[in-house]
Amino acid sequence: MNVKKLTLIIISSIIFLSLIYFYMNRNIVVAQTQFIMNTTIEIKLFGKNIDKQKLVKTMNRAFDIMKEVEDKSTSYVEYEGNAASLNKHRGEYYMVNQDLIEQLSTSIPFYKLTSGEFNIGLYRTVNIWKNATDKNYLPSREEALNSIGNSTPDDIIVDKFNNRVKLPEDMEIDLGGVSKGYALDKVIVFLKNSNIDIALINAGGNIITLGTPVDRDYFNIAIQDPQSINKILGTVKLNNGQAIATSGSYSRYYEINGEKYSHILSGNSGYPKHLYKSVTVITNKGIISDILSTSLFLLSIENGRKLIEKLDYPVEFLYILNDDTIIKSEGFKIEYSQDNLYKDE
Amino acid sequence: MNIPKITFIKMNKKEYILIAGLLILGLLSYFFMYNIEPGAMVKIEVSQKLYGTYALNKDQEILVKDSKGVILCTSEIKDGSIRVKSSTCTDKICIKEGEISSSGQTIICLPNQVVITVINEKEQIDGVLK
Repeated sequence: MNVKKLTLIIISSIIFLSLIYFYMNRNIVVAQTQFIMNTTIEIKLFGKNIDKQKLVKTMNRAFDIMKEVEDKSTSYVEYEGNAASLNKHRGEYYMVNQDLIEQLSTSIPFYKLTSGEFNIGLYRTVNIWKNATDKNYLPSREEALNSIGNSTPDDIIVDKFNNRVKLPEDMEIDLGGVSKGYALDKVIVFLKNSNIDIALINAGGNIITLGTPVDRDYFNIAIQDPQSINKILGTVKLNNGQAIATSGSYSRYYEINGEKYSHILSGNSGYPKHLYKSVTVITNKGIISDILSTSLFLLSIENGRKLIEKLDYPVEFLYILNDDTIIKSEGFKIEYSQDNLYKDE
Repeated sequence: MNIPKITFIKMNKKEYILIAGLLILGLLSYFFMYNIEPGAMVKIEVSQKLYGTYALNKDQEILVKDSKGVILCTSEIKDGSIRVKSSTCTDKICIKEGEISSSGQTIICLPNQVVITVINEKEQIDGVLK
């Protein structure tokens, strides 16, 4: 072999290897959907082809975290230190898991902030509505109200230092409007620690972002039309770390005698409220987006604004009123679909 | 007359095959790398409202009309790029813009308020909030 031949072979090898390198290093997405927390959850992770195995592993671990949060927060299946066990041990100090402590500390203050509308102590009331749906009768206002009891979430004692909680004797909790958002935050922390820079987690009515795709500085999120699953109200651009959540009377409801009753119950009356078709909020924390969309759904627009002013989070909101009018904050940038029938205020 | 001598590198068959093989593999991976990119789309907006989206890999002519049905311009998708073929506007700047084909490129017709943008298909929607 002479020098020229060798050079030719080396050059072609370099071209070959660099092309292979660029191919391996191209941006890829791994995504999967699983059914957790009574909803379909999609996790999308963005990375390079060379660490695809790592991405898939991280994605599976992220799903596991969501399942763990579900088990730790559920009021319907008993595990040691979870909400169902805490409900059983009401009236005494009970050791609970850290995730429950976090969720309780964040959500309890919203009882006062919403003048009682956002109430995590509605386990019994929720059961009345579930039962009524099965038996197809409409619970009376009195029955719903009586199920709430005299204690309020403010009477829950959370002993953060010893991981203990004392529930009032006449209260059982249901973290339905909290744990999905909390789980999103927990997954994001895990992804950051796993050196994932770009991710999108879609939990149906809750979406959270980490970073943005390499070719742009936002995620494009479509908001479903409250009245038709096949239609899109419009799209919003989410930046790094933003969380969006929707509460609506359409997505989940109790159907009794052919009538649809929203699954979002007022913490004061134990009865559904149908002030709006839907409320969507954008903020920078999953748990806050979850609590806030529920809270705003139960409050008048004026009281909702007052609540937002009291919070230390940036909040954008969009209401769809029952007459199809849209009321939104100035910073809520939405690109309406062409066939959108709703009208701005 | 002196004919210049063309000198070839003397190689045996195996070496030729090796080099050719490496180059072909390299080119194939290059081709594959670019082929898996999702297809680009074109978005046409009239007076800030979405008029329609079209695939850039399908040759077609698009008649752009305003809400009253008056024709504003005719655009043509051909060989992966789009251009404005004819327009009813006064300055015809949109026609002079020529062809566009990369994501983010735009042709704007100010008088008729027509905006043509090339977008990446994957950019369309990342998730649906239910």
